Amino acid sequence: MKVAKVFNNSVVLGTDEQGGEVVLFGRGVGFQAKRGDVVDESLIERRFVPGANASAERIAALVDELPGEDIDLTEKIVAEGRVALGDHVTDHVLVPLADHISFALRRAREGAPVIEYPLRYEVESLYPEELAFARHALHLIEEASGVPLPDVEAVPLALHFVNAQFGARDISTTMNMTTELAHLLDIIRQEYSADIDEDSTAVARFVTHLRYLYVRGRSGIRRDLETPPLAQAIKATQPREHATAQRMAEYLASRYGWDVGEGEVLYLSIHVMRLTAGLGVSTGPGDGS
Amino acid sequence: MAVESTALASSIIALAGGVDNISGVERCMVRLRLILADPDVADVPAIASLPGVALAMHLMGQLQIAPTAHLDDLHATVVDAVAAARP
Repeated sequence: MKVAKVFNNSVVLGTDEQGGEVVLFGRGVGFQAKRGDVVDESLIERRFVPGANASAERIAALVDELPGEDIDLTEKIVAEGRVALGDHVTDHVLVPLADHISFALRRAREGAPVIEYPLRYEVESLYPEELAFARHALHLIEEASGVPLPDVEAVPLALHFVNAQFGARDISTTMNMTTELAHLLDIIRQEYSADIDEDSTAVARFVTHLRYLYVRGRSGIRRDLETPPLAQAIKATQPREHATAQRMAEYLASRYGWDVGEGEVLYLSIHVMRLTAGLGVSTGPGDGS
Repeated sequence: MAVESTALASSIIALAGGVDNISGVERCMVRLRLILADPDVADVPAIASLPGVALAMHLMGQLQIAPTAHLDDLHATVVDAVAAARP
């Protein structure tokens, strides 16, 4: 590990043998260090991986100002989150999450009014797993700091974990995605004039599918360019589901200019079939239930 | 809601030293984050005591302001005001 940049006596930017950048924190690690020097690894107390959401400069400013115990606490939450939610909860989430938690503790300690978060209901219905873990994280925060945060603070924590699924992407992307996912579910509710069971596995599967569809759309990646023969079969036997899926595709096209393709409409149709299977409505000649 | 955000944005901009003192506008989920040309000009206690502001402070080289609600509107209004002042 070599020194790429010295921020101050206790924070340097290091590069490993593969050229990967890591922000290193430790008393004296930057003292009289110069670019190109070998890092004295015995001095390193913490390592942070920079990403799109947290540049090396921001991390350097953050580790200097955040209380060490808030970073320790966040490391514990990230480690537990990885076990509970999956390997996508990487160390990239550490810095933005520590920043968020530390500020939430500051607000609570200073008696600042509770914040009204947008997307509260959307997060509850779309991301039940992340929200459940976020509530557990509130317990960990209280245990470590003695500060009970209000239950609504689980909402932004859950969004940080959703964000982790897509790497170190800007959090506003995740917030926009959440609004859009809720709108796509509303299209099904409108078409069937019924509520769909928001705790069901079908919703969870559909939301997972939509999350990746959204990310592919944003990054311009297209797949399923060819129309599978099955799409024609679905269109013929499940006209209502296919029309609903088509409406979602049209919404995405008008809102973002994405052409999701007939293959994608097929996948969406199948999800609509699953989501509406329990509604007791006639779903066309293919419905054998 | 939009009217409140406009009023709050105007107060914050004035107390932060005016649009000319704002060199960058960012946000996270909770905070409006202003990068100020001269941070010392900002009257942080006055911003913190504005109605609709939960907490305001200098952190990490930014003036960070947490409104109690409608951060989307507030952020958009401040971005527009700063952009309008730059020909």
